[in-house]
Amino acid sequence: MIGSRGERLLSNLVILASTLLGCFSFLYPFFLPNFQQTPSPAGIRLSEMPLTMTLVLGLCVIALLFESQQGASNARMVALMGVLVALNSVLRYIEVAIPGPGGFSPVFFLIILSGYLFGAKFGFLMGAMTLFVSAILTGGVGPWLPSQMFTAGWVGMSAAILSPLVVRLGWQQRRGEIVLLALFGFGWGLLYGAIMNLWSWPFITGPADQYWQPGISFAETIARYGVFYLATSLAWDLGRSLGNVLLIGLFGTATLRVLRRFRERFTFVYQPAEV
Amino acid sequence: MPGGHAPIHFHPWVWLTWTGSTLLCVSLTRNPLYLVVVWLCVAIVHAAGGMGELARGSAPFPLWLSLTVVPLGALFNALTVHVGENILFVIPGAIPLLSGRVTWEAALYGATNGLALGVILLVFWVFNRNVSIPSFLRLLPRAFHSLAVVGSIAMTFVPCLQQQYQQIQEAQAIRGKQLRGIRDQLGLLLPLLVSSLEHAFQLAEVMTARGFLASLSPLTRSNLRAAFLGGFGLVLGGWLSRFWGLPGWIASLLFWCALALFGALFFLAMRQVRYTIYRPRRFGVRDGLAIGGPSLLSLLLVLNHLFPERGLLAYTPYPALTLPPFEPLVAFLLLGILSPFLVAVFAGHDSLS
Amino acid sequence: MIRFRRVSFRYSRTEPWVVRAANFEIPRGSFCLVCGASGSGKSTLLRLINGLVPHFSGGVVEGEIEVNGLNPIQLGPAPMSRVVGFVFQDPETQFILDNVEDEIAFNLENAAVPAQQITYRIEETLRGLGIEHLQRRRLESLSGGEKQKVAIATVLSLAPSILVFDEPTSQLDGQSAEEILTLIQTLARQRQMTIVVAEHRLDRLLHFADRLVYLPACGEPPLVGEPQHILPHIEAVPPVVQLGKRLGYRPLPLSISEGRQMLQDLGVDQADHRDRLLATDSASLPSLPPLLSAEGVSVRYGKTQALSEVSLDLFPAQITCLMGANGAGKTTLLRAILGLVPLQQGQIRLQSEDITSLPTWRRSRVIGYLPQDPNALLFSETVLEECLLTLRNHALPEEQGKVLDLLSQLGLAELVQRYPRELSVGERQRVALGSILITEPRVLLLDEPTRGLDERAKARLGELLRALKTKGMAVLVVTHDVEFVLNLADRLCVLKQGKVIADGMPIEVLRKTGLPPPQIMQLFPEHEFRNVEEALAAIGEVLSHMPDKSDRRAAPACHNGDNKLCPRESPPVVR
Repeated sequence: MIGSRGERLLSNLVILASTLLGCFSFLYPFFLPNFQQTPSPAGIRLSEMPLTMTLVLGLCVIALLFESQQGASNARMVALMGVLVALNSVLRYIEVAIPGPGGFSPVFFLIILSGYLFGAKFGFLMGAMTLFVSAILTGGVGPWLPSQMFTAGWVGMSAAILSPLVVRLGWQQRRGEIVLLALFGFGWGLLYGAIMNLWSWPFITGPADQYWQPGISFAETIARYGVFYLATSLAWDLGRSLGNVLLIGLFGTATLRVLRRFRERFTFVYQPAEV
Repeated sequence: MPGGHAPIHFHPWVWLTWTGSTLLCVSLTRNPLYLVVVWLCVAIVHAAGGMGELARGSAPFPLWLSLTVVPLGALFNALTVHVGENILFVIPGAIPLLSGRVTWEAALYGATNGLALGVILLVFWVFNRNVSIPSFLRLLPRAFHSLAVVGSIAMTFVPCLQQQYQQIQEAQAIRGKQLRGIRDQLGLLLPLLVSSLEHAFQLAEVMTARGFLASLSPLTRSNLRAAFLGGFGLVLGGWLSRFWGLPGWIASLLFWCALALFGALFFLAMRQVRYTIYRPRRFGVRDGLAIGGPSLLSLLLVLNHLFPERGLLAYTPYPALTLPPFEPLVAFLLLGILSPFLVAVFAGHDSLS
Repeated sequence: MIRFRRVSFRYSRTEPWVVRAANFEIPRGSFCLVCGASGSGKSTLLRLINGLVPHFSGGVVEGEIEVNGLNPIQLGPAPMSRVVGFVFQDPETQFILDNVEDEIAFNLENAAVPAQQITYRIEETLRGLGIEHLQRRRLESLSGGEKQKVAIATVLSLAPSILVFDEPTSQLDGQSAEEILTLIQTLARQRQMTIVVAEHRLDRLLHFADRLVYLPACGEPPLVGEPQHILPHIEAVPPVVQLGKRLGYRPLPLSISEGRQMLQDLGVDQADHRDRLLATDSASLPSLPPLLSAEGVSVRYGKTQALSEVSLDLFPAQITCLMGANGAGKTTLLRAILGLVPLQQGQIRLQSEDITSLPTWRRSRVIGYLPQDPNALLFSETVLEECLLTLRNHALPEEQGKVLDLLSQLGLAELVQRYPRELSVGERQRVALGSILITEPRVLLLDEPTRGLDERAKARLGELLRALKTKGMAVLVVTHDVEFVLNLADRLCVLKQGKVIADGMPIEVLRKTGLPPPQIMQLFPEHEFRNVEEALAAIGEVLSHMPDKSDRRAAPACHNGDNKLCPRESPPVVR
């Protein structure tokens, strides 16, 4: 048995490993040119890549969910998350029912703020569970679900990084905090689109090996993807990014205040006083 | 058409297996003939109507909608992939993505891909319609108890939220607030958040009083965690081996080892969790029969995948169009997808006689 | 068996004690009532029994608690859930899932009861409570009373030996409350369970209890003992007990029948003193023109006709109460007056102006409405800000002085900077009232304002409404609380299936319509007393004519300095 520090290290390692592997399974199209050169009958098998990737990604999501359950380690956090996920799912439903400008989606607002305030694991669960719950609510369970869960979870998880940053800069409850969060939301708005494209791109358009003609270099692949991204989804994703900025700018301060008011009540853990 | 038979409801496991096998088929083949067979089978199950415990997502999903992706796929692929020998026409100039040869091969491949996507959409639609939300949550393994509870709470709370939203809207009116525009509407989000958080706190107290203990990570034992990391290492190793040009069977072997390891870990982790999951629905004989077809199909597909030399399902239109191979045996196996429908029909006859 | 040994509790080291030196035993199989005003620490005391306090709330515990040989402070609430079943106040917020079956299964799943047994246990529990027909129902489709029954079923499924109820009826209407109280009595009678109930409505349970825990105030040691010994120390008691206390009659009457016995013993049960008894000032309905009138209002929800051609006039300087069974259309009528529901036909007039087409936010300037859940009205960070918000909404000048005046009238002067949602139920209600009254509306509508209030808060609300009445406001109160109606109302209307079936003097209407009469009317069915004071005045007059009976069997409670009871009544109180 290892001590609690070792445990924490291992736990973080599991999270890191699943994150990296998940990223890799998103980024595989960029490595395909190299696969192409293998002598095995891989050319045939490449059509299986999306499936394999979905499976691997599913595995990563499961591993991350396993480890992140510590973010909901008592009844309070479970109830809190249940309620926030419900709220966010309703927001997502509204987004589906009444499409706003571009990829505008109110779903990231709460994910970012809860990751920021309640930590990486909570943030991950918040993102992943929101997508999961809204998918089963709207009957939208599909092969895209693992990657959506993974990416949205990632948004929440990475928001936790801002917390120590803000503390170090001494920006708590100042305007700087909101500006930082808004910038973060802007960045993720674009990134989320880029990542989701990566997943759907080869799946919808066909075998990747036809797309990247043999001999294309890694850099060239990325350049092609850049063109593809600019042409197909930049405008759309900008809508999402600006939406995030708008929401955080308008409601960020008030929402943070409310969440902070409740944070103490939800996160406290009873420790018997020494007699 | 199965108009006359008594309604029959299959266990959620049947639908899970059915969905899994069908997806496996679809992702393993790009042979258009086989895909057409699969599409037909799924379409029949789809048309047979609700065979689950609860029909939800009642919005009709017409069959033709699942086929609209076929021409779209063909068009998109033909315009963007410029490979193949039978040239339709050439797009001149230097437009990125578009310029180049437009070939029959690319169009066929795009259409096949579109068909695969259509089947996937249809399969999930059937799944969503036949498995109720509580059953779906009960499908989650025990190790995810906390998350299943999060899901259940969220599901239960969504309708309450709609009520609360209305209540807050009214409260605003009572207080003399006139709601204009999107900003006022979004402004209701804040009071909604406050009342939701208060609700969450009361809920948490109720859950605690009723014996709820959150499940921590089932990987609480460090050796389990270490094994988990090992599994990831194997997957990564598999990829790297392909990346560095090692033979395919090494990668396959590593992947399957990792899969076995993860399976064992889940089993071990599950045994540590002290909960029971109440599943009021029993698994009956009919469920057993209905699950048979898809199970057999996936087993054979996996076996075929392990020994890829046969390449039963493989087909690619490139570089030049050929007639796709069609083996009656394979087609017959694919009919396993029909088994829920067949069991429903025969069970219906039994109950009539 | 529950044993508290010198137990004290506070939420943190810097805060005052909430429970102080609680030292008592509740024997196995006894029926124990916990009483005391809101904020006296009842909930905290109950939660100490199953470990919710301090495990859920945090805080510092001193002393020892033993529940069936277990220590809840050490074990925490999860293991205790198999011994102690805890039923909460609000039926709306104590469910985790959406249907009855899953809800009960939740407890069993978490207790790791084998899956094969769960089905059987669910069915058995529901059958035991006589609600097997609810098994497949969705919780949202149940009435408040049914929900509370399901809540009881969820905790009973684990077969606990102790049941704890934290004000189980305070959020229910009269009819549902009645059902739940009957059920609790049945449980006490049929099963050998220890039952601990905190409840405002002592009248229904008092004669049932064999033990009373009275919390005089927050941080004061509880008084524990048999009801006869503890009741003299309690101020807010049911009218029958009040009468017995004031008349110095022992043993104190705990139920109506014991009350009648008392009157007989005292010789004041004869009806021939009628002329001496006070008649109520039968003020006729004012001849002023109505301030607000609903004329032939009909409202339809889908297939149900919620209101059919209801006409109701509200007059200035008059308090009108509106009663009726569940679903009779009371709330709908209020909502129709405010324009929150579309009218099928009819119109709403303010003085003589037709306001039927005016939107709610415009009407709210002159018609104040306090919904059932005043929480819904609270949006702001501070109490002061809450009132200013209303002024801002109506584009009225934001005069802080005016707001502060109003708040001090409401008794909130010291709370102006507090966060409204942190306050007690009564205080929150007054903040909500403040946010409505700041525009000086001429009509005030209240939907079940007494729900969840203790006697003191209720009395305070009554005073407030009377003060508003003297200012010329027309007040309409929807309520189930007959005692409140009798004390306060100038006029009573009764709705039944969307129609007004009675309208007139409260006592006459109560007699005529067969609504459950208040205790004082049950005791003196022939007279028109509205409260204990009036009855006492009349009885005093009668007794003064019978000097030989005036102090028969009277034994006023005697106290010495530090609130201990006289030795001849010991051992009544365990401290």
